[in-house]
Amino acid sequence: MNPLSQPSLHPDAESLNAFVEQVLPQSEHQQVLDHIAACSRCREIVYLAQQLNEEAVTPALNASLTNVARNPSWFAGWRLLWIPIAATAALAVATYLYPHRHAPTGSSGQIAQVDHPLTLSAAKPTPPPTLKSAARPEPVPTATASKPEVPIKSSSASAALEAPPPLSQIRSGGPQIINSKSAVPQSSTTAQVSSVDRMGTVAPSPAPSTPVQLHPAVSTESNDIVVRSAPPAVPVAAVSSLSPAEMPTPTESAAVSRSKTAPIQPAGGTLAYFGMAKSATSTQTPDALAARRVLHTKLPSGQIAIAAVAVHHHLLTLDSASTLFLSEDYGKTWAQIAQQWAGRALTLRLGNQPPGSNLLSPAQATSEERCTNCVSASAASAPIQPSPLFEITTDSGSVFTSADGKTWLPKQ
Amino acid sequence: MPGFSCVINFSYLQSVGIAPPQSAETAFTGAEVASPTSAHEDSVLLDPTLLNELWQQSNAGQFDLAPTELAELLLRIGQAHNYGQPQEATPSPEQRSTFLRALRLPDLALAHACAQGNPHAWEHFYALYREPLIRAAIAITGSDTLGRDLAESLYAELYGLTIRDGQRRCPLESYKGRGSLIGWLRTTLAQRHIDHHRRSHGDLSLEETSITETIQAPEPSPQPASGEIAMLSKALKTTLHETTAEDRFLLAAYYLDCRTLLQIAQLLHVHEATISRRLHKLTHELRKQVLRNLQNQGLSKRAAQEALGADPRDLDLNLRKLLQYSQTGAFQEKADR
Repeated sequence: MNPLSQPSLHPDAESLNAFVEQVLPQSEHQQVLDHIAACSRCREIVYLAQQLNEEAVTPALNASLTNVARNPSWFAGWRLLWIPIAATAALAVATYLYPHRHAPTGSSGQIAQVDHPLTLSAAKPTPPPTLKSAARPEPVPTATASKPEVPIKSSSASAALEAPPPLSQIRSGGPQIINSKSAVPQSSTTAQVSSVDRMGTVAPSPAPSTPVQLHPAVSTESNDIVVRSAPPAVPVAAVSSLSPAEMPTPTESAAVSRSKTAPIQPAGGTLAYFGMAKSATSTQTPDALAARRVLHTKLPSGQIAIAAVAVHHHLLTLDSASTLFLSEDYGKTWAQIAQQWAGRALTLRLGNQPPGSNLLSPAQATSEERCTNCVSASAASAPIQPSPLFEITTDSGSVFTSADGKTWLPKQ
Repeated sequence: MPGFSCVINFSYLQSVGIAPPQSAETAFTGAEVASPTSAHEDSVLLDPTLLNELWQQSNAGQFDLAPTELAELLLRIGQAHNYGQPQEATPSPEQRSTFLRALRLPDLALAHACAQGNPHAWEHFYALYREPLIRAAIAITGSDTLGRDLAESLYAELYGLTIRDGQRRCPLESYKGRGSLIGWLRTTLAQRHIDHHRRSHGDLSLEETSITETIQAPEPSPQPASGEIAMLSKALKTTLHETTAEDRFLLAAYYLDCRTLLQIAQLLHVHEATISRRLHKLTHELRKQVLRNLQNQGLSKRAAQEALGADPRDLDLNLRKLLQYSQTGAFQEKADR
């Protein structure tokens, strides 16, 4: 019986196939269902068609599954990638959180007071930072020097390698060896330096053989350095006797090196440098506080300040869009400084400060935390240094200086 | 090299003068196909944007089908099925476009081009469906030889070797794109196989053939039914005639064809647990309905329950015939045969 010859007796193959594939409209579906309920021949056709469809789908499905099993997708091998990623993330979080939890508040941090300059020689390089050192910083040695005449030689190479010119160079304009006789102020002088770079991104450079002397008042905690002038009451031997293992890690060494950028004020002057916002310093000068506070606020441009320099009520900030703002009332009102240079301003620092001492540049700082660099200087009693006070470096490498933060001229 | 074989095969068919028909007008001669004139008049109603969209989707240009030719084909199919609406309804333009968009347009264009004898379409068809069709035929017959024979015979029929009323007939003309073309081919194969089997086995189904081959029990001689048995037979007939088509299909598929719950569920696109519940509920209701019918014939409830517990072998009932009763008139002629 050919259904094509008797289309009125049985549903044709089109209808039966549409019934199997469930694409018939309801009325026609009911008609076909009524027919196949009564017609064993069409039921058999439907059973066979359904069975063939199932058999056609199953091998195809099995083949596709086999292909997937044989040829895993290109990212299948990346499934194990989460292990190193998780480890890296855990390391980063631990590195980030530990200093936060153990950051000293106020002046409660460990402070090493050295009355006499410390000479850090680059005898041998310090091993690179390890997980232990990153997650749990080594206890910072507290050194007390009682013999100011005896220089303390450090075995930390990075301290010497990364050591920018002493803080006094900011004023004096060139590197110099600090000694207790020439550089130690007679009056109370406080300098604080802290590092922004928590991840130890500062790599040690080839070690120079020239020893670098630090200002005696050096204390480190984690990667924060507090440089403070203090009466010569602590023996230097306590520092000089530190074993290499007890010496600061490269991260700490970098911080130490940065600490050497803290200006050593002449007698009566006070300069304060702030790095991480969390770093606690004992400096509570208005300039320092204003410079530190502005790092957490948005500037009129809507951008976050990534660098701040405060000198004599002049609070100069650089936002993430490389726009310069000046405030003469500790950040209450801001005046945008017209761009007087070509390109983007990358760094902002005090004048005569060596480029390496600027801890932050917009290009380097991608997060707010890394951008929280603040340098403030306060000279309560010291005379205002001759211009230029401020200095910016553009992306083309040009350096512009300004005495008041408003007028900028290329550095000669 | 299926494509090369197809070219050779088609060239052979052309050389012997039995190539598929070349004209769509000569192809559509069935009663259900509307005349080209009426389709052409109705093609004015087809939105040109919609037509262009459908023509693009169908890849009809690949087989040298013009948009107007596709429009005529679509309108003929739409008219034949009233655009998926009941026959008494008048489809709206949205319903028309929905129906036309739901068609398997690439398959439809390919089948139409093959029915017209387009060599490129036949190459495409051969490359696409030759192997699946042979596999399906082997699966149906359970034999490689028989399967290949079945597939080749269908190919010959598809090529238009069947001549009726002086005209070649191509079964692909009956494909209207509502289901997939490969599904249509499998169903056609199954039709051919079932029909061949029934012809060769005296119109018996596959299950009936296997049963009669394995069970050669002598038929019991008909005995006059007692009063209760006669009443039970009548109650059963009435009850089964009152069931819906889907219920009768479930009963026939499960109890007569011995299909599994999973097979029935796959056919109806429901879960097999649903089929199980429905069968349980259906038999329970059928029993209650039979009791009710027996009580309607004057039996008490207790007597009706006793009558229901009669030995089925005492019943002179052909349940297969009772179940295979169609209530609708669409295919009444075959069902009553």
